[in-house]
Amino acid sequence: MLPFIVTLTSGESPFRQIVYAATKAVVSGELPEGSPFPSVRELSQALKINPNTAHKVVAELTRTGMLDVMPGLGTVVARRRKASAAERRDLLSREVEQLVVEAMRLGMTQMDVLNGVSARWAELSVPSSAMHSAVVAAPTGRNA
Amino acid sequence: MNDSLPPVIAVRGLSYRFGKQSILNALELDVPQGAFYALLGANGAGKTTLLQLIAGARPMQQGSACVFGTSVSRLTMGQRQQLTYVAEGQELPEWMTLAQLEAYCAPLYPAWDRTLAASLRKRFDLDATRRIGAMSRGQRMKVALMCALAPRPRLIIMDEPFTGMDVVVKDDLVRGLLDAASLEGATVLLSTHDIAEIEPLADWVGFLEGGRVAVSAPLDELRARYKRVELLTSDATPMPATLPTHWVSAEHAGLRLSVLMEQTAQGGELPPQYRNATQIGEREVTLKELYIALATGNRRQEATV
Repeated sequence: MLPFIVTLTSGESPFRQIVYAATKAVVSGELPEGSPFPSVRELSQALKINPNTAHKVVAELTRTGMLDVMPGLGTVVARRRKASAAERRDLLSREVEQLVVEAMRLGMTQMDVLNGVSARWAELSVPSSAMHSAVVAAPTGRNA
Repeated sequence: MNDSLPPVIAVRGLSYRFGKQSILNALELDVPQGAFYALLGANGAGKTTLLQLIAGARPMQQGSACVFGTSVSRLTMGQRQQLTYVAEGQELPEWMTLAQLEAYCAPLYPAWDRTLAASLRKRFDLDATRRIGAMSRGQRMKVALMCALAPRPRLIIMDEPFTGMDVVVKDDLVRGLLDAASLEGATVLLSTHDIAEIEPLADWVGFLEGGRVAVSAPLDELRARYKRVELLTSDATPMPATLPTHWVSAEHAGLRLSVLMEQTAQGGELPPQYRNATQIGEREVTLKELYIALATGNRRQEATV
């Protein structure tokens, strides 16, 4: 059994789907710091993916700072580090723009998007830090 | 996988006919060491014939096929013992029990691993005392795979191993194959038309079309080379008569234009009538989309990577 959930679908490469699912499990605290991460063989067997892909997943998660390699023991979930300025800038320019464009295409309001972001943020927040994360109160339909 | 190693399989100028009907036409194929190679093609494309020729199960007519660097017809006994081949609907001696079959196969292969055979038997939940004739289709496929893996071969060739198997059996087969590929470093060549099943498994794919291998490339390379872009056009602009050279295929649905295109260095220029179009989405292509566009598409000759 894998310590995180991923259901592979055809439509995106298994590599990206698994990296995303594992990253989500780490940032949401589902996979706590220091907990062991599955080996290449375990990933390959459990998800029925090519071992090379499994290897690349572990390498990518190590590169992005999600995992630490413990020589002789395998990999464990790393201590969270602060994102670099460049990483923050990247996220805000690319992913946020895509979200805004898609929302505008669907005729949503800025408030719809902000509420959606807040709700999802609260869901994923690690319990220990939950009380610090300000949840924006959804202003329920002033005009609606 | 190592690029500096010679390919495990090298096919050159291979042609094959059934009477007047040409099946394979000057076909070329390299399968690198350690690859998990999926050969895709429509029914009747010649997948089975090609695998039979490579496995030495059918005499050559024209061209050559080398395995481990040696022509298939001149493989030594030692080399033959390092290649296992499971045909589609592989026939097995029905009167034997599984234990008898194992006892029969073991002396044929010096590297036959009794411990591995026993662990596969257990993993596949097979009963050694049961007669093969009394087994289900799925169980027989597991027996065939067990016999193909127990000699610890360097090359495993399988023709449509997943056809007609229920999901649980498929899972077992896949995991057995993955172990052989990852732990033993074996090269796997299998034909299938189950694209969704094979997509996460394979690291190399080949599209067999018109008697030739139209595309043969690492799957990651194909994924990185193409993308699907969705555009929202300002009005129902007619499709240009000739697609831009980096477009593989394009479909219109109302104002939405969906394009499978090559990733180009400059980002790719849009044809004049689409200059005002808004890009509303971009995503990776699936193996199925690549197969449809490249193997059966209109731009076959440029698709070779």
